[in-house]
Amino acid sequence: MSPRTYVPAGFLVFLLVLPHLLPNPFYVHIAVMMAVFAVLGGTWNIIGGYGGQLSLGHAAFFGTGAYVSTLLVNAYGISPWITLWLGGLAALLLSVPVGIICFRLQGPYFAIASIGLAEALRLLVLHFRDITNGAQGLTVPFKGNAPWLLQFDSKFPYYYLALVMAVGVVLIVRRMERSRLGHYLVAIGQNQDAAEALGINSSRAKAKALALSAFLTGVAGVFYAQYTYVIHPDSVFGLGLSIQIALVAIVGGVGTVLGPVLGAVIMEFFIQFTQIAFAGQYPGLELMVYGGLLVAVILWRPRGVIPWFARLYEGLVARLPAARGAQA
Amino acid sequence: MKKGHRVHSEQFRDPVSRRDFLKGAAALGVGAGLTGLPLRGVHAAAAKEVNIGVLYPTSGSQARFGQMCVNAIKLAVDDINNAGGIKALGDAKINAIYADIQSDPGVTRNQAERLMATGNLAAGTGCYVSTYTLVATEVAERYKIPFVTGSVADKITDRGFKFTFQVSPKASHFGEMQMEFAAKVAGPGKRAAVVYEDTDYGTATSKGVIEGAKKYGFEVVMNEPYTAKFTDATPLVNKIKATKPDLMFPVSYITDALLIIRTMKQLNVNASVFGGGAGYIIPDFYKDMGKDGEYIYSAASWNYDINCGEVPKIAEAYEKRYGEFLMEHAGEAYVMIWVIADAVERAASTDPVKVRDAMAKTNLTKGPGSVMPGCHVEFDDKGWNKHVHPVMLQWQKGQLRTVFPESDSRVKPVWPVPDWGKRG
Amino acid sequence: MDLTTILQGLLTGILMAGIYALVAIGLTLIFGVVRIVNFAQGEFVMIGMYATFWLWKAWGIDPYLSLLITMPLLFCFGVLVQRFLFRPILHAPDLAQIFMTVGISVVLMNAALFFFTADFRSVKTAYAEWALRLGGVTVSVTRLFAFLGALLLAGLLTVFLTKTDVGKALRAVAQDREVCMLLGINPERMYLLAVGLGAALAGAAGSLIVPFFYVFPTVGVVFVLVAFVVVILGTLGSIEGALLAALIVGVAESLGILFAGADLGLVVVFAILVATLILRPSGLMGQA
Repeated sequence: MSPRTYVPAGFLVFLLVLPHLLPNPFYVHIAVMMAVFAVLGGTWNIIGGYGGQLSLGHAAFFGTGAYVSTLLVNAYGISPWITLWLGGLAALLLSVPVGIICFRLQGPYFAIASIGLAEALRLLVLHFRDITNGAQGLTVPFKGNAPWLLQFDSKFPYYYLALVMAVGVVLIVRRMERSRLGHYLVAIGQNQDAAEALGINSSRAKAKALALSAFLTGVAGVFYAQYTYVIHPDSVFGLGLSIQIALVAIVGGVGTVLGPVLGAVIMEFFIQFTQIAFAGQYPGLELMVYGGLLVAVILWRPRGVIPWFARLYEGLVARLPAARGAQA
Repeated sequence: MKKGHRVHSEQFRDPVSRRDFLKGAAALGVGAGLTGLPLRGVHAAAAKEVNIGVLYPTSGSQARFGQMCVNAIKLAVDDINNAGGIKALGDAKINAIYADIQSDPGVTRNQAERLMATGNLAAGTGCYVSTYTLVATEVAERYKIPFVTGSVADKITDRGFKFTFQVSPKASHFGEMQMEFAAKVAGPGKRAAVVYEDTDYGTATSKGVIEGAKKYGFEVVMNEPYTAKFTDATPLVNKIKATKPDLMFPVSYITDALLIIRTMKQLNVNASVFGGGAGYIIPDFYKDMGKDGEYIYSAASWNYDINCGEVPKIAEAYEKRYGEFLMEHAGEAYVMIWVIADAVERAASTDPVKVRDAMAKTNLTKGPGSVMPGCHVEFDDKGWNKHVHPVMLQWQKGQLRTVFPESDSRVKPVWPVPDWGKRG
Repeated sequence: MDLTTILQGLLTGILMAGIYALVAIGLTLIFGVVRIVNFAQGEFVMIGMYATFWLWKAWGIDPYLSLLITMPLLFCFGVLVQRFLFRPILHAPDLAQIFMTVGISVVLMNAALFFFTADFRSVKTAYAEWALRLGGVTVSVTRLFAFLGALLLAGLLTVFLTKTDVGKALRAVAQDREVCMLLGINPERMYLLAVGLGAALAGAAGSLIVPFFYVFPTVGVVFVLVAFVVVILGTLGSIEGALLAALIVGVAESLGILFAGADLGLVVVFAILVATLILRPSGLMGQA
């Protein structure tokens, strides 16, 4: 067995037992957040990285999933296991008009449009307070330990759920990358006019990519609502979140399968580091350092960290022996 | 012009040298080691220390309020420790562990998780904004750590959580009190304009205001939320002016409170103002408004001159240390630390579950832990301080004075309110 | 709703448009020449505001006079930003550029918080309360000055761009940098100039705003979103477009607050953005 097989396999096993190795629930919480952002970054990557459409409004899909699910759970008592898919569906439906409006735009226009749309949605959610409870936010009914309602006292089930989602997204992105859609997207990203000249329907490809991305982002939103229990327009529809999502993919490496995963780990690590090292002592210092790190990453590795990591991995794999037995 | 689009195959090109590999591994090792850093801030419950988690926003949009609360808490901790600490635990000292929740629910969740999982807390307190408090109390409920708050949303205690305790009035009570007072001084049948900032606090209290208005026979001529981030209050005040109100009930943050009042003067809108707390009752308000801030009313959940025991002494000590008066939520934060200390004292333990049980039996009528309006802190079975009620304040001669209910006030309200230009 | 109220709304919108225009022009200038969308433009304004405040606090300098200091100050700042932060990423992907400016924005906002605290500062001047009353309508003098100041600066900039050699070179680089190099124009220097000017305009906006508004670390966010809409509506890179668009957006926001709801002003602005993108994405001045 070649190291190329057993190293990833070993890593997966490690991920499976990880929660049991961590000293307390706070670390499991960190792991959950890393997984959530790996999901978000990975799905953003579908349209943002491969599709080359820099969306800074993905929080719109996230928030839609979170709100639709929580409203249904509160109003009709539907199990979140079901509203998980309904939330994703709602986000997918939202992506259709968004795509129609935005896909004719290039580069920064698309980014600004996405910001505007997400912000408008946030303000509207705030405005229609009779439906959404406006600025007071929504809470998921607290039921203690209720697995059939996607609510657990222990963090472990959340972790495994998030892990399944993260692995799922990685596999989906890998599949998509090798599929026709993936190739179309890359072609469109390189040169949209040339791609269309070759017969590729760029609108349809981008719409499909956005729909997929929106759906998965919405599902992540539902998970988040169930995990954090309180959702608020400013946090789940916020510009800050949209930026973080894109950031994960960028720091890791856009247009790559594992980039966002790496980006999520790094970003969450930095968030934790700055919150812990400077917690509460000097207002503004944390985010100042965080912003500085962002600038440093852009200056030093504008194409993401994954190439460097990939070389490291290659080096490791080259040094490891093949396991006896089955051939690679 | 399409720039640098990553193609997958490009990445895995160069073989890595031994040196590079070692460098990389070292970097990873350092990184992993740094994650050990979270252990900093973990305090083992030393025999001589009682850990209290303090979760307030000291950066971000709510920073001003959060910082004042943290200041008050520091004062309380010092006061308790200087008086001998927790006697039942051998003069154990209170050790407050502060975490900045950055005016963000996600950060609140994170910091709450961190403190409650690693901080060895006997209790926690925070978070100023009700949304953040909802987040933190849910975490506290799962970790079984008692959490005391001064936030006001009804939902906080409506949930019937076992580990949540609220010393402050409920949001729905503010409006009722405001209207009761307004009806008393202004008489019935007046025209009332209600505007509120489109935030948690604004939305929560405005409902009570509208209901109160109807109950006390006011004609509600305007009921509208607004975005606090406006750069010009003129459109809003313009709209208010068009409704010709006698009384105005705004719920505002800091800059919008100032801009609204200034613009009211500029556009000559002479309605009497009954603010909804927050921006209307902080030092910044009068410092900026000067004479034009005179006679403006505001609802509040606490004030530094309420008629309870040693409140004046506490207020004086705070002002001496920090150079500005002790404002509403900061005063409550001070009280809450004493409430926690009292519970720990009676529990004679730092075990959070035991502290919780003791806290549920809190019944303070004396001492710094009792000085909420009503002068009596006792929690009902849902964790709410059943004796507390909101108070009405008024700026008089540059000082913020409690004027209603009579039981809590040391001075009388000034009515009618003179027109702009005739104040001060 | 009576006529006076509507007129007041109209007037307020027009006055506000001046400030939006100033911020937008700086944005559009930087994008036109350097092709970078500067998400930190709001923070440049914030720096200008703090500079104005501290000049007043320490030496009693009137905000309008401090324009003479804040503009050169922000110019130098812009030059430094271009030289050290923008230059390395001039040819990086759009993503990297946007995130660079986002990072700068976060750093600046929080540096202000760290060094100056979250307290709201304001400048007290003798003329702060002055207002002109025309019929039933009130016009705040400080806002009027801001509007006039913005117009003046926009006018000066236009003169600079059309009548001076340097200005024309700047416009040339915006159109086609390869050709400019053939013509002997040094694009590097033009970039420095463009970002410097863009920052200077933001600083000017800051000084003009301080007399009627408050200074705090996140004040830039308030202006920058609207400025983006203005820039797109007015066509990225066009100064006249930015002026016209600012007028439209300012009035629309003000009337939106009046008619739609006091919390929907920004929604109206974003609706304009969406409408522009659907109907005429290249903006008012662009090719349809």
